[in-house]
Amino acid sequence: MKTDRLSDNVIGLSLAVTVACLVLQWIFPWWIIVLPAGVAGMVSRRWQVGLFSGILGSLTAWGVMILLRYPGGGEVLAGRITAMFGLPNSLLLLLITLLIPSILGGLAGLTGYQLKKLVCSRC
Amino acid sequence: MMKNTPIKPIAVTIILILVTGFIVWFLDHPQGNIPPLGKLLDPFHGYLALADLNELPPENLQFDQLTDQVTIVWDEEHIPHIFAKNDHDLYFAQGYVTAFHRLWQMEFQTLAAAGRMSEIIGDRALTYDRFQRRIGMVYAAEKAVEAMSKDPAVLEAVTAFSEGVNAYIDELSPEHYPVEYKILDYAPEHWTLLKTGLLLKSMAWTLTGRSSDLPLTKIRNKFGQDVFRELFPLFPDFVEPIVTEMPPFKPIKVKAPESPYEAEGPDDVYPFASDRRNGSNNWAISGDRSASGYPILANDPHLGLTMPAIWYMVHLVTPEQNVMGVTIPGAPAVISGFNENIAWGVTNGNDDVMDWLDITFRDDSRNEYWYDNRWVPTKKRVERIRIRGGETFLDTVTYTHHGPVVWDYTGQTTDFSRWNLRFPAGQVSAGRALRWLAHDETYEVRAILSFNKARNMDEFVEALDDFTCPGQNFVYADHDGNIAIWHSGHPPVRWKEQGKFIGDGSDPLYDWKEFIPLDQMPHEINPKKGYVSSANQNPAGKSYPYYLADSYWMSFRGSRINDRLKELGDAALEDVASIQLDNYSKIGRMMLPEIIHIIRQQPMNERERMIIDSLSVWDLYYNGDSWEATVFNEWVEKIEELTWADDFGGKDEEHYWPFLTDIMELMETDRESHWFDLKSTAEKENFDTLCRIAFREIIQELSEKMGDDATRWLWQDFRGTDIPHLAKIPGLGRMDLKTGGGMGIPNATMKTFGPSWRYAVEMTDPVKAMGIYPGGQSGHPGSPFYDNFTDRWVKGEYISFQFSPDPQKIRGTRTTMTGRENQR
Repeated sequence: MKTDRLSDNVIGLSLAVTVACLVLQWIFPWWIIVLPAGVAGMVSRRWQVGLFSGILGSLTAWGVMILLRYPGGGEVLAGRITAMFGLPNSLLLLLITLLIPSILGGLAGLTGYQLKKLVCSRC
Repeated sequence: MMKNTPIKPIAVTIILILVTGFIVWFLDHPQGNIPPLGKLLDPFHGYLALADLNELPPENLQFDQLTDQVTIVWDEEHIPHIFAKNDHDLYFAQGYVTAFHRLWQMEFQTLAAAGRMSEIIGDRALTYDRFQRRIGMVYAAEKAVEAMSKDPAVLEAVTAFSEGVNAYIDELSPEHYPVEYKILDYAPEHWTLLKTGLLLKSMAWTLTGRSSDLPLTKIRNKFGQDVFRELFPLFPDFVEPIVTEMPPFKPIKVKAPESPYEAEGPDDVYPFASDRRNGSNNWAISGDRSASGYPILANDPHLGLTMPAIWYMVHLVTPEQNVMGVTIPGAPAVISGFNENIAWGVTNGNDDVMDWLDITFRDDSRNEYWYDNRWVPTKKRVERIRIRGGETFLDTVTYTHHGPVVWDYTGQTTDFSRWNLRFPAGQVSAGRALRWLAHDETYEVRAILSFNKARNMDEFVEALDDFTCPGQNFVYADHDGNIAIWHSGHPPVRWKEQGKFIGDGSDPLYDWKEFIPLDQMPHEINPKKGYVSSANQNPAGKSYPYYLADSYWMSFRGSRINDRLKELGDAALEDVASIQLDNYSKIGRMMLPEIIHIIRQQPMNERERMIIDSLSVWDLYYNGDSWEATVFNEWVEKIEELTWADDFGGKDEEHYWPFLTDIMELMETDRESHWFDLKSTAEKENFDTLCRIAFREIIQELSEKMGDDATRWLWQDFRGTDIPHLAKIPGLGRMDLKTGGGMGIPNATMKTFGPSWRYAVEMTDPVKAMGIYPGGQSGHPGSPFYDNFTDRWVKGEYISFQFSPDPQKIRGTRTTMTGRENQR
């Protein structure tokens, strides 16, 4: 019953993905975000749940780290990276940054959902 | 929605996996010039991870390698003051702190010098790497390591320095790698003696890697010998040499060939032409001219400016030494600075220590070459160039006893200039061997270590004997009241004009057999005039017996410096340093009245009259807010271009022009000279015509570029200064700095070249010193100490140094390093 509720709960799954990302990313390379998002997709009842929990969960994890680090000394370097890419301001750089977990998290969520369907079409 | 899709689930799944995998791969690898975005932007391990990086090391550090306790005091500018009980621990700590601040820079410079850029950016850098290998940079660095290994004290210093660097690398986690590693996507490797050797040879390349043999041969073949008397004299008018008087000595003689060899060509483009508008300065005044009664010394070596800063300030103290100044990150000790007893500083000596020689090979195998009437075997050196994402490239370089045959044939590689980090260079002449002094086993590290500990002039001069390449003008001052200038190095004893043109590699008379002893090099000790100075000009007058080079930089800077020094009496440290910021143009004083007079001969429109009227009352200072400086500078450069481009090559192609002094001389003596005639017109032009054409052209060009209002053509906006990042990464440099100064001026700041380090020191007790460089102590672009000096450098401000052998007297944050033994 609990599983059923979570499998249809975007917020709950997103939180789980965020926590998993925050833990796993300390140890593994950046692309590890596809793992929790993929697992979230696998446990989702609907593809929309997998997609959005993958997006929101990964995005939030990266967003939290940006919020922690950008004002805490990352601003100067972000400004230089912004200039390196020829972008008009750092906000745009941060938005582009957040596109990465959004796209990959969403794709991984969908992939997870599809894999589950392959193994068990009625799940 | 998925349920209704006509595509089968298996196909959708495969597509999703492939797309996800491709995006991961794409963002995990650099794509051309684009860094690996996933890695770089990842807030956990990417650039934002550096937000956690401490600006200074922790309060306590422990290293097994240390034999005793080391105290480091970081002052408010983050200059490390290192207090150790012995040399080993001192240089270990210096290696550690240098890496802490400059790891990426010091390593990148050595990778660039070693021709290993392809390992980082792939085959785009192959031509650059081949050039570095073929010019013999690694070969030279290996010789430097051999030299370092022969002296136990030197070996201990460089080994301890390497250990210190590696101790820092070993404790560095990948997320804390400097941001450039993340952008370029590679990791640091351990420091070695070879890297220190590469760094020193890289500096030798920067300062001596130039040669006029090739362009002058081409000019001789085109115009004949007479052109050299007229346009390329060793002693042009307006020469004011560094040393005016020297005690007599018996020079070493070498035999010259009966008739000089005349090489063909070269048809290919010129290499190594350096911009002769650049320049460094140094000087010292005796106690007779200072308020304190003690000598004052000043030095501002000029280089191609880059970020992170070229230099790193450091204060090193043991019971045997107390020395402060700057070093190149990666080299132990202090290269330019002072201790309690002596001070020294450098400008480039500009002697010719690079010759090109024609080689006749027996056959295409290049296994033997003709030398001294016999066939002599060559040596082959195989360079292995690893390429990121590709196969290792093997390049075989043929070595003669002269040195490497840099190119086997014309066009062997092309377009390496954009990868050359310091000097854009064209194609090297094919089939010719390079004889370069930096390929010899030389002992500059020993010299530097000894300067740091020298207590008087005798010890300094003894150390100077080890400083062979790059030969420098060393200025010296000490607490005993002595001042001196010494044109140092051990250039070869040449017969007159040996090395001016491409030589005959088969004739032993073109070999370097003897080298000039230090006491026969131009020098001046405690002259009656009460000052010494140098500004890259001719080191000695016509009576000096040795031929050292075909030309030196023009004397205007040196002459202006001497004018200022002559006026000094009761001078304070600040008075002596202020000459470094002098923007007065002696070229302007000598040329401007004449060319204004010429322009006034013909009718002008209202705007032209306003410009000429303003120029005629201009104070001749190239200050940043002067628009007259812009007009005059562009006018003179246009006159030069119009005079020489049709004979010696245009501005946009490889060219080698006579000096401006030749135009100034012709302006005085022969205004109808054929050099002023424009080949592109049917009419016969003279100097006056060229002046007028040049004036009208530059007014039009400036109007197009900066608008019609001439008073807005400010020099700082028109020229200004850019300091690019060392790897040319956009956003990591400082651009559009509002600087003044220019050619022939003590403040010879240029667009991307300028005073890389300004410092001045008064030899009182305690010593008073101040200095500054563009950039900052930190090499981390996210640090507030990355470029906190730059604005002060632009304004002409200095940092007053804290200098004491007692760590308690230095204000700042402390780091204590202990060894395992001390810990127990």
